[in-house]
Amino acid sequence: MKSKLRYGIIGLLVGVILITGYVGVFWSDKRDDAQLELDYAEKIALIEAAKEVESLFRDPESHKLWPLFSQDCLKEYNLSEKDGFKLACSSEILQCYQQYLKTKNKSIFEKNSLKIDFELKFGKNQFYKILFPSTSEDINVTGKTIQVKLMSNRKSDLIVNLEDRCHQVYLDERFFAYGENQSDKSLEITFDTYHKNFFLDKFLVTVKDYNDWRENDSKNYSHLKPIIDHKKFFQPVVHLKKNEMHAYCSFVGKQIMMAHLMDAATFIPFDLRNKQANTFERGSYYWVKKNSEAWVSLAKKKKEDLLTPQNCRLLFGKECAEKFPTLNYGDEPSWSGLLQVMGGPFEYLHNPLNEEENLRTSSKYFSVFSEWNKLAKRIFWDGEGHKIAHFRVFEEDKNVEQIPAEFSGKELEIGFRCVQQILGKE
Amino acid sequence: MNILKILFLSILFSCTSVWQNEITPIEFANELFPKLLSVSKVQSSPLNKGIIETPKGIPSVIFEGVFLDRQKNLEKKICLYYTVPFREKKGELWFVEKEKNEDCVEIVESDFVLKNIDSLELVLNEKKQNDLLLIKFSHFKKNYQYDFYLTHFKTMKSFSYAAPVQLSGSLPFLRLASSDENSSQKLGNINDSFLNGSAKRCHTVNESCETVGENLCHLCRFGWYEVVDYACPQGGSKFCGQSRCGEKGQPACPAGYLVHEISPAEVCVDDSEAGFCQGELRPICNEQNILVCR
Repeated sequence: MKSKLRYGIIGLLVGVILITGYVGVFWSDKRDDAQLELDYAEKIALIEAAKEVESLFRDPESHKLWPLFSQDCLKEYNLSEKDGFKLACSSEILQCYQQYLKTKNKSIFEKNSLKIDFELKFGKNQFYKILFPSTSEDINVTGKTIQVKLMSNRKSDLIVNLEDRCHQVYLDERFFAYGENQSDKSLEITFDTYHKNFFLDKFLVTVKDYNDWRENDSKNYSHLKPIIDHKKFFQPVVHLKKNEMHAYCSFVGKQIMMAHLMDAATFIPFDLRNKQANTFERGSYYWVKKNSEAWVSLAKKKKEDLLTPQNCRLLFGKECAEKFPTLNYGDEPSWSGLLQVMGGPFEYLHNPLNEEENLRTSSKYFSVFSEWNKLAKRIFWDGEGHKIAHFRVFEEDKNVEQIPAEFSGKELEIGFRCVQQILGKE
Repeated sequence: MNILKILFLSILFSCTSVWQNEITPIEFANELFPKLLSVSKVQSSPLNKGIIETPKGIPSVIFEGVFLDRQKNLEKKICLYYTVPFREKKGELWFVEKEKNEDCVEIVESDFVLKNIDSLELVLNEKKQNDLLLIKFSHFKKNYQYDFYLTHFKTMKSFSYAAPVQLSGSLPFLRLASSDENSSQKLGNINDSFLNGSAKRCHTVNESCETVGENLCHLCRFGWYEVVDYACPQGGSKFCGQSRCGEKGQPACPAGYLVHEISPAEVCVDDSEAGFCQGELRPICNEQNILVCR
């Protein structure tokens, strides 16, 4: 009897120990799983926030929040409503967005108790960093990249790289010809772009691009200082020398734009559908095929009547600069999508066929009716300065128009852009 | 005493089984999530084919992808293995990392295994911004679905084709940062020059249009440019740095092969039309079989 009682008590004790053990492990498993579910939800939330930021970065005008802060943002940078696309892929759009979130006390992403925001002390004096392929060791940084850090209120974070791929156009694979239309077709210099994957900068390099370079490469070219006026950020940078322009393109992993590619991107192909046409008839203006259709050729109209804002937006020559000094010009694209291709500042190009023709003359320094305000018209710039003495108009015919004397003593504006090839599939 | 020993051993055995924690689905999902985030290539997978039913009872590869190990800034391979349930034996799911060039076919075991799977399927949900890999499975008769973002996958698909890479030049993708490393893989210095022979060649093609070694041009710090050596679909060989093509002593600027109907044998010959030079300079084929301007 005593031994039965003893065994009964032992059995009861064993049972209690086992039950307690199972319950304990079960409960701890449940709490671990609950924690892991939160961890997983946090990972998803960080990705969703990253996607939200990326979609705004890449196409702000399509973002649902854009109407709520676009006015303030455009005003800050002296942009009109139709220029909103210029903010794409910029740190400025992120700043406008963060300012909006701060004002409204909102987060990038919120779900249940999870909140995701920018880490505000991530960069030097700002919440982002700008990375360049030349200075970043990250092998995925192959172009100018804005880096941000997203933080959750549970203290996990995610660093996201937002690469600037908004401001390039792909140059179609087809046959092209260099320079102006040749009446003697045997003199045409032709080339093709098959398997080359050229991506051309849509715009001339801007003041903001220049500032980002200066802030991240201050050891070299230390005499070049950032331009702090926000209103100028989206205007072309026009005061650099040739070697500085090359240095900029190199710093962002690209090449300086080349003359023959500029011709390819601006002359309207005679037959757009036939990419291997051997006919290279081309007009002198990027917006029409035939010269007779261009507004500058409308001889029946009074010249003064032709100088309208609409026409000047296409070709911002000397008269346009005098009549509409604050006009936003150059936003009509060429057939390939390039902007700012005629008028405005001069543009420096590397010319692999003729070193004496490295400066596009179509600009605000010549009359809209001048021969120099046509496509593929180029003169020589020595790249060392911006006064008239640094430009040379080579001519056999002494009647060729020189840069007007009224500009002597002044610093003439010269812009530039870059081009890069992207590796294709092997 | 014998009864006491038996009782003691039973308690010990039970405790051991209780505390031998099985991997739970959420644990598994949390571990797998970061690995799949930066998968750029899916090399093989029975995606979107319903419940995986073969081969029964033996492990096989169900997902093989290349991803970026952000800690080491190195591309690696992830292999996802699955043993299909067979009779009373339940399915098992696990993953291993391998070197990029290793095969997943050779099955490697792991201690981190999700067991007791009744059925499993993989679904690739292609979305505008990123692709989602959905892993759906039944575990202890309960259904689970976990979403894994393949944030780099779209990028790599876009880069595979020249023309469809958006006329506007924009690429929808999300890049997650790698850790900065002291040991750099980037190539080239600012003063490298083709003229003095210091330019780093990042891509070499041969006369059979085979790439010799690897194409490393995406690692060039200061961009890269193509030279005219062979008429190949992937272009000619390439160098890191700034192009001064057309200038004296520099490579001729590529003019393409199709417009002049240049045969491969005619590419690197003196005065070839395959390259541009400035003014009176002529494209001359040098000892490296590259057209240079002299």
